[in-house]
Amino acid sequence: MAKIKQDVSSVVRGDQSQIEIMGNSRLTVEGCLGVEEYRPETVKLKFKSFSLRIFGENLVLSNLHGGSLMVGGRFSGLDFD
Amino acid sequence: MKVSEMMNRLFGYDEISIVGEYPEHFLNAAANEDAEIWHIRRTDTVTLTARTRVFDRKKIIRIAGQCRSVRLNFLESRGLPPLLKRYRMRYGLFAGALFIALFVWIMSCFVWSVRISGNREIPTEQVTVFLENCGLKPGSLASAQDIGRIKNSMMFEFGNLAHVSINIKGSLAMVEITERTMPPAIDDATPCNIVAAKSGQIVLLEAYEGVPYFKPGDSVKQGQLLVGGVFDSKVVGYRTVHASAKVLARTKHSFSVTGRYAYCRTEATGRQKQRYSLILFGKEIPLYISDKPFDFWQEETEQTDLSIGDAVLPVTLKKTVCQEITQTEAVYTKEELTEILQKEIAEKERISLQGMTVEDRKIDLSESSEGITVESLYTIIEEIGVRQEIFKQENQTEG
Repeated sequence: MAKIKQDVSSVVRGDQSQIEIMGNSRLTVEGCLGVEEYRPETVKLKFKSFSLRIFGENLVLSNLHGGSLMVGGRFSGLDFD
Repeated sequence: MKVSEMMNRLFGYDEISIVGEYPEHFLNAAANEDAEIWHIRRTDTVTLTARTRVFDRKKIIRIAGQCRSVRLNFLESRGLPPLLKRYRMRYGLFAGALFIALFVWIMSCFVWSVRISGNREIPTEQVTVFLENCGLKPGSLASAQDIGRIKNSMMFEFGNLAHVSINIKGSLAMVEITERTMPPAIDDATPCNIVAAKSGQIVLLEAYEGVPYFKPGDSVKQGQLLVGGVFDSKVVGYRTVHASAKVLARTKHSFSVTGRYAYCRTEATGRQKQRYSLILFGKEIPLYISDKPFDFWQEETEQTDLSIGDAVLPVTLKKTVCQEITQTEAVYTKEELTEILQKEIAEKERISLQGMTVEDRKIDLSESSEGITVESLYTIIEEIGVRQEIFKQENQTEG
């Protein structure tokens, strides 16, 4: 129970990132530190301890606000660095 | 329209383009400054387009100034705030909107429509007239209505009401009536005979009370006594009863219809015109110029009470659809006319002989140079017994 409480509080504080992917067309992230690269075929997002590269077609960014961001389009792959 | 899109329109947004070798810098800086950015698209290798809030414009300009590698362009402003800004000097528009809002508010203080529902036996017109006498009518002030008094008056006036509810919603007064289900009338003990309502041949006679004078197979004439309500006794004299019996008899019925070969045929050409008019305080204001839409036409009208939300306005829109028709002289063939007349006869039979057993049906056709007459003769089994009160005569002896 203590571990769950710690995890939840760390997400709330923004220490940890949260990535949610719906099908292959929508990806929502929390705790993103910034967009490193954006092109219609790839998006690279920077997190505290890693980077996430999304590959696909017609990628669009939306709802960029604070540390949250939504990526839409047709995904073909994800790559964690 | 999605809620988010509606909010964007309400608060307004700017369509911007960010030009530079590394426009992601600008996106990150804006996100860090809590400026909302959405709908980000890359249009070419060095250009991004996005949307930002109108009230974040100064912040966006400042951030773009800090990111020296990008150039910011405001392409377009959309939504309500830019629209209001564009028309801020047009006082007439605002005055008009204010006037309309005020007009609608004042009009919503009055009852403009009274809707009566639930009445089965009491005519709607009668209820309408009563409500008008109580002051609840189109044009009356909604707040001045004493609903409790009107309800009590209605219950008192119409004796067969179980419940009345009156709700004024906006400018619409809804009167819901529930009528009482009256108990069936109890057969009283008034002395009476059963007499024949029609002439015919008795098929069944079951006397539950009284003295039967006929048996199945007998012929009776209209008005003849079938079951007597008087018992005569040599010992105790006579006594009267409330005669009760089931009397079925075979009777004759006939219907006749005549049709002419020549008739006026009406056909729609397919051309139609729609006319609109406004009914304001009972006066009709036509919204069209021409008087006659066609040489010959038929009309269908539809009336709609105009309303804004729940507020019913004192304006009714009347839509009239005029369909052009042509009238030509035509002649039925014998088969066509016979079929039409037989349908008429069948309809008469359906209405007049409802609930009766048709034992035999004979249809005769007589033809003349002008048309056809169809006569149908029926033999049916029906109830012919009706009650007839026995009046006692007081014999007074002069002493």
